[in-house]
Amino acid sequence: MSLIKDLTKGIYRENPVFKLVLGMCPFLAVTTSVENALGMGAAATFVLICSNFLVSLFRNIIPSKVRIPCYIVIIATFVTLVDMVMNAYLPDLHKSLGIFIPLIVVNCIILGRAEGYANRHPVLNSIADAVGMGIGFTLAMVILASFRELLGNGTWLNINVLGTAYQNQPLLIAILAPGAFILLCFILGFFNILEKRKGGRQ
Amino acid sequence: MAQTRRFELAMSPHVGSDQTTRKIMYDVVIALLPALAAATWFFGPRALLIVFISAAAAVLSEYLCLKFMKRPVSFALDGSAIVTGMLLAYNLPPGVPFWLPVIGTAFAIVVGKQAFGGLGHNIVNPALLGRAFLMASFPILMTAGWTAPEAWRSSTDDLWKTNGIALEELNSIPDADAISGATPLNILKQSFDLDSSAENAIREGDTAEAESLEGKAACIRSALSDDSTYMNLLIGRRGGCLGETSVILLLVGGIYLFLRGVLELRLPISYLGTVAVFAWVFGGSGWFNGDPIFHVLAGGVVLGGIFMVSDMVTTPVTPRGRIIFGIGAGLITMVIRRWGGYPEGCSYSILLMNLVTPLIDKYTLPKEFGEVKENG
Amino acid sequence: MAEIIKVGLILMLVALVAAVALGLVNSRTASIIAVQKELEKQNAMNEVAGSLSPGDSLAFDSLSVAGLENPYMICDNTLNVMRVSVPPDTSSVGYVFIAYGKGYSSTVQTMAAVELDGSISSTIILYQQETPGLGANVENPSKLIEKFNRLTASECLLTKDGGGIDAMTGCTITSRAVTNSVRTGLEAMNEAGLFNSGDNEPAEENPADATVESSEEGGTE
Repeated sequence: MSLIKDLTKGIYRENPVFKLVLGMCPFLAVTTSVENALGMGAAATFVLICSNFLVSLFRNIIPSKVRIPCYIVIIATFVTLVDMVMNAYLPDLHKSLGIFIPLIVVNCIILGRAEGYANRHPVLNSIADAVGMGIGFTLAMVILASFRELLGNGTWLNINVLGTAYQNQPLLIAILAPGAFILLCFILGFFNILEKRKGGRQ
Repeated sequence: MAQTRRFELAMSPHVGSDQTTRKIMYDVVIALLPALAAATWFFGPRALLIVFISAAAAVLSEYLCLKFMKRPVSFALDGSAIVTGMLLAYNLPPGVPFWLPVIGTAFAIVVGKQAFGGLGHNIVNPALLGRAFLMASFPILMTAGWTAPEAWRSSTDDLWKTNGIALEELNSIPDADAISGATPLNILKQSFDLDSSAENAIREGDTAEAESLEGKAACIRSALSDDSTYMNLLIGRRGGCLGETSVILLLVGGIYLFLRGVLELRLPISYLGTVAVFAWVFGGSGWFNGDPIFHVLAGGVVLGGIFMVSDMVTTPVTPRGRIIFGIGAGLITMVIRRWGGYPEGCSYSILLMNLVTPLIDKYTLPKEFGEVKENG
Repeated sequence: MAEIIKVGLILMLVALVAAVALGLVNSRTASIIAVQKELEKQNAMNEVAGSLSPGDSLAFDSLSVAGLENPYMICDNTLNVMRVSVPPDTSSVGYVFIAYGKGYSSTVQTMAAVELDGSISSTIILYQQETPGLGANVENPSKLIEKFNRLTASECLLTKDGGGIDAMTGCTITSRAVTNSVRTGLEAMNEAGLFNSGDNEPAEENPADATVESSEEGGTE
């Protein structure tokens, strides 16, 4: 029961982006297209699962004084591993995601979950938490990326949706940096309204 | 409002005033009308329609926002939305399609103004924010929609169609005629581009090429400083954003505002003064040989100086702060014009200074009578 | 004191395990990555040089050409030039080189194939990180780099700088970076005497006529 709860809480109730407002750096930078968002989400989820697993496994061995350096070493190792393996065996994916992979190291969701959850919960729960948080992060990225790609490029997952006439004169700001901030504010505002309505009814 | 602090009254005496937001805003609308007449004269009925669409879209977005946020919808007609819409339209090239001002004003009102809490709470000037939004979203439309003044009268095209001239067509080295085509600041920028090309030619050892490029640049600059050019700039017979061209009619509006007690002179004077001094010192190819008259008349600094630098909400309230604001905005404008990537820096300079307004206010607050400096 | 040593040792152990793991994986993947990179470069060269001699399989051997000092080139002072030949025959059919230009938000790498007479036959963008929707459109050949075809060094110049190539609207800086870096590369190769000089001299004296002249010669060849 608690395993399922750990898995699902990351998707909406404790969504890392919309509720905890973590991982803003990759969230804002990589969401220029849905394809990038999916790739980044998958890579971050993988690293998150591995780091949560290891941190939870060694949570009684790692002394609390040096826990943060240890987490960072673990995370950085996995990120570098993903980078090298992807570069060698999946060169096409690496070409489109290559510059974003080092960004995973500074993704505070991963360090946040290691510090906030995995270091005092059993292994299975930590993995469930990582999967849930990873899905939540990926979903959030896809939501913002959908808006940005659709408005800024007229496409969704590289499929032309709004027609070539729109593509000639798209709302370019949506895929530029300011557009990411503005749209993020709208989405956060939307969730706040949702939350308020829910609170009002109870 | 979660704020529990009571409204505090200062110590008497209190000075009564019959100024209201509505009165001030409609005064600003009246002051903007002469320039609108000039825009219609030079750029055709199309310009009038763009301003009307923009103002109407502003009022409509304000109405919808207020309705959505359950605030009194009568605020939509307090005139501030109309001013925002008109100012945004004044900052657009005359050849833009009609949907562009609608998107721009909707963004200006919804994000720039109402999202912050409505009139009086907005951090930056909504009209300029709308313009910056359009610049980032539609750079091609915003930099290619220039039309030559009075061209609409002899044009056989459908008046209501987009009749912007692509900048590329005007990029061929301009002679005196072409100066009426693109905006004067675009042409000035080209002369600086030619200068840097000449420097490269020298570096590559091609002296003949360098001399010819430098000659072209000098020719452009002397044409821009011609007396007839000054006259055209003053009455507004030039390319440019539709409301910025007629300096003389903008000044008429400014004088009206001053007489009505709405315009405080510190801001526009420190702003335009800084632009002029900077232009004289750094504006030319060497030192102290720039053309201050050209820089004040060309571009949008007069429109910006009277109607946007002096915006009551987004500029400092203290007398010293206002002078600092004007000087800062003037410096940024001229740095962008002289060395930046855009030909005109008026709107960005005001936006940037808007952001530091609270800071300026904080450090320039005059001492209260009898106040003793803390920890002094 | 004893505790700090213990803590330090554990941290060292963690770092050691991580380093060993990374080292092992790296030794496995490094060679594959290198092959991958080489293949990518080879593909790009084949793509761009295909225009020199369509349909043939090509051979490349690298030359070292002294680069010209130029603000647009940010790389060391040698230009990376490949001589292109059709294998059984060793005589060259043209050259391929990589140009580096400082754009708006990245260094744009352009690969260009050059005919023996010094005119560009084809260009591709190898790498760029310019603004999406604006400068990044440089990847789309019809926006800019297609216009380079058949131009020689002196003609490879933007309209704004006195040449004949229209910049991409709204992104002069990117256009200028690509155009100027390619031109500088051509000039460096010209200086090194790689081109048949006869076609090049008149082009430098009178750029306006040269457009007509070189295209006519291209037709007769």
